[in-house]
Amino acid sequence: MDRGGSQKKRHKAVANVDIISNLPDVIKDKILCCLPIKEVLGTCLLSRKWRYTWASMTELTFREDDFDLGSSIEEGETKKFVNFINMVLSLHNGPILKFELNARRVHLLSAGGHIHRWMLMLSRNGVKEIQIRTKIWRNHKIPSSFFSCEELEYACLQGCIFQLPPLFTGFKRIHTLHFIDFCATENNIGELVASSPNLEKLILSRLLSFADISIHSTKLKILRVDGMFKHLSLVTPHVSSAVINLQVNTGYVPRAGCNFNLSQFIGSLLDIENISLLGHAFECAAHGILPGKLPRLLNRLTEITLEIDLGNMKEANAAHCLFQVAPNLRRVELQLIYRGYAAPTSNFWDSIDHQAGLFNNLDTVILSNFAGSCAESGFLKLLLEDAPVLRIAQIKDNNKLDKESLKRLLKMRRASKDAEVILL
Amino acid sequence: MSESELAVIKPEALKTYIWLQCFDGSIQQVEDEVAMFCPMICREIVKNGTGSSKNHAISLPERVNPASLSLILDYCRFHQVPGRSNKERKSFDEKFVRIDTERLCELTSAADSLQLKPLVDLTSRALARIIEGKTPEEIRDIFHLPDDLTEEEKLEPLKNINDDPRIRLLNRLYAKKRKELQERQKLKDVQVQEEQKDERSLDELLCFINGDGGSGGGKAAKSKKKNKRRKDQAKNPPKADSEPVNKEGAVCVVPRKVDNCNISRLPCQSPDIQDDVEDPFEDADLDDGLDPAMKEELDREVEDFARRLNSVWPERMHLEQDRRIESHIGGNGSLQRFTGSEDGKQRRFVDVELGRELKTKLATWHLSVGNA
Repeated sequence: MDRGGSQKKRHKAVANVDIISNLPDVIKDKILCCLPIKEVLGTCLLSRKWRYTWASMTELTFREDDFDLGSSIEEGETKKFVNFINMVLSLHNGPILKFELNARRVHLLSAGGHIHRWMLMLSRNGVKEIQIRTKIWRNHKIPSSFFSCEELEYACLQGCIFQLPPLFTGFKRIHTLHFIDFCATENNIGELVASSPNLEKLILSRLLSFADISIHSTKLKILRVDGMFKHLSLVTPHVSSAVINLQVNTGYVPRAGCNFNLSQFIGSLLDIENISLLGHAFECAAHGILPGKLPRLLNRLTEITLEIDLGNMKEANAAHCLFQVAPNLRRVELQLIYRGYAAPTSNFWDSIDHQAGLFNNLDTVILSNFAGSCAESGFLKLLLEDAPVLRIAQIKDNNKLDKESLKRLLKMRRASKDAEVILL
Repeated sequence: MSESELAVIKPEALKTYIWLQCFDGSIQQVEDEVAMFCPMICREIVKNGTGSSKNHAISLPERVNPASLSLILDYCRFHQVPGRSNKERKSFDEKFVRIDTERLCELTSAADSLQLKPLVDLTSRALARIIEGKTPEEIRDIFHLPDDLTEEEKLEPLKNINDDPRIRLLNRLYAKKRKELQERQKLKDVQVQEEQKDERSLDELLCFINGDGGSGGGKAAKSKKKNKRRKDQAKNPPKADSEPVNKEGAVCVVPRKVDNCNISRLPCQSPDIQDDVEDPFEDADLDDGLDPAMKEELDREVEDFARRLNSVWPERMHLEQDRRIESHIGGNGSLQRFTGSEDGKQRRFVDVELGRELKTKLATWHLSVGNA
């Protein structure tokens, strides 16, 4: 190509022209946002054009780990980190769209700490994304100015507690809320969700709740809750993906006092596509679901993951209910456990009507921690006989399976020609 | 552009090729599904119906040169094919940005003007990786950036961080002074005089004015040296008969030296100046030749300057003005006593205060902000 040749020549002619400085500001900003903040500040030494370029960058990420402060957690050690942030914020010019603070020492975030001033500044700068993380499990109070960040779209807060200010008008634009190590003593989460009309994603990681949390939202699409809880009530009709992983720690909340209204939750669902009920979520709720009580078919539901004791009549029954309302189920994963209840129901799954077509569209089944008990074998037998398009049945037995059970397992009749039983 | 959009457009457009025209006038034909991968081109086709023939070619933005365009089309050609795994796409991307830096910049700019966001992200990240971990000098070399900032300016933005740069400067001065002191003790110079002490502070004052900017450092170093000087004097009692000569010499030599070295602004110049000044016979017979009225005026100016010296940094940024004063200082001996006594207390305070933190701060300084 002759054009290529001339192009090369032209390139040589302009070889010493400074091209990066003349890139559009958005691109320079993008480049700076990809760099560690200390290097970003270093660009002020490059040339006149770069002198204050850094000062208008839109994303600020401060990681205490980037500052070689030694291992001491003394307050004085953090001074340099704090000074640095103060300096950057005081010289910054223009909107700050993202602010991420990764503080190792939580006192930075303590009441009256620097975070209050920073948050106030952010709230005045139209911040859209705030991430505050800390490595120490200690609660810090979110500055009230956080709630005046009207442009906020994304928030990820770790180890915090908060109180909604009396005149809080809600985050109109927020679409993702992520709380890590969140300790709930009242239903402020529920209130926050209720006042965030466009919230689509709610993640509560390592929740520790002493309160009655009730979350009602018609916008929510993705929901993840894991942690210890006391009372949890979820009404989220348009959630498409839900993971509920509830642990009961008797040290915090008495086991009997725990209550998760699963039937209400499942009853509220309309658009669910995949659901995971882990930990004690299924156990606590199992007695709430009775056959025939679920109001409607969940046609979009294709994936179910359960942590379940198949030998427990109530849980088995509840699982059966779920399978019944999910005609398009393609993938089932059961994490089998034995919760220590007496009286295993050996014949529950044998008694299920094979003509019901429970697993008509099932493609994959994964059973982990398979011990080969009557209930578990019964379920697997039903499934293999009743799933015409099954391709994969993966069984993880943790070496507990004896030869007899294995033989029985392999003998089971399979409705699907393509069904492959994989033992791991 | 999403695939569903493509599917909607395709049947009604029914064309297999799109004509594109670069800013330099060159026209080329591109498969439509490739071209439509760029939102800007896609919009042109849908909204304006251009690109269907050579005469109605889509004119591309100025920033898209033929070389960048052919790269962009390569990128689109690969990524518009559905069903490629993430791993495949990633490894293609990695290889794709292994081009020389200049072309990478052009490509970034061209992709931006075609609103091809994934490519803009990719190339921006690649540029960031090039910059990461490099010294300013290296970055300047790579991107042909002009080194058009003065030393002062390079230090200046960092001044605002906290005391660190000043402390670094101070440390540098301390090291110099220590060395100097050692040398002087070896020489056992007998010509150290009362006036010389003052002259020395003037000398440093000049040096500071000449532009090093690190006022804290300047001040503290000055007093430190003064202390050392006192020690020297204790060892070597002043010789009364050589006093006038020294006085004259000191006062007169300075301006000449200033003229010689006022281009360089770093404090490391000071020992040199001083060495020269200490030669009592050099220019000993020169006279400043100022009349009393003018001296009075200079005294005022110097007083003003000394006040500024004690004030905070931003107020001291009027270098032009300071330099003007500096030339006067050189011509007048009376100001030395003034500055010497005025800051004494404060300097000592600075000394103790900064000296304590000096080591620890210095050690971490280099890590804390760039490679200033």
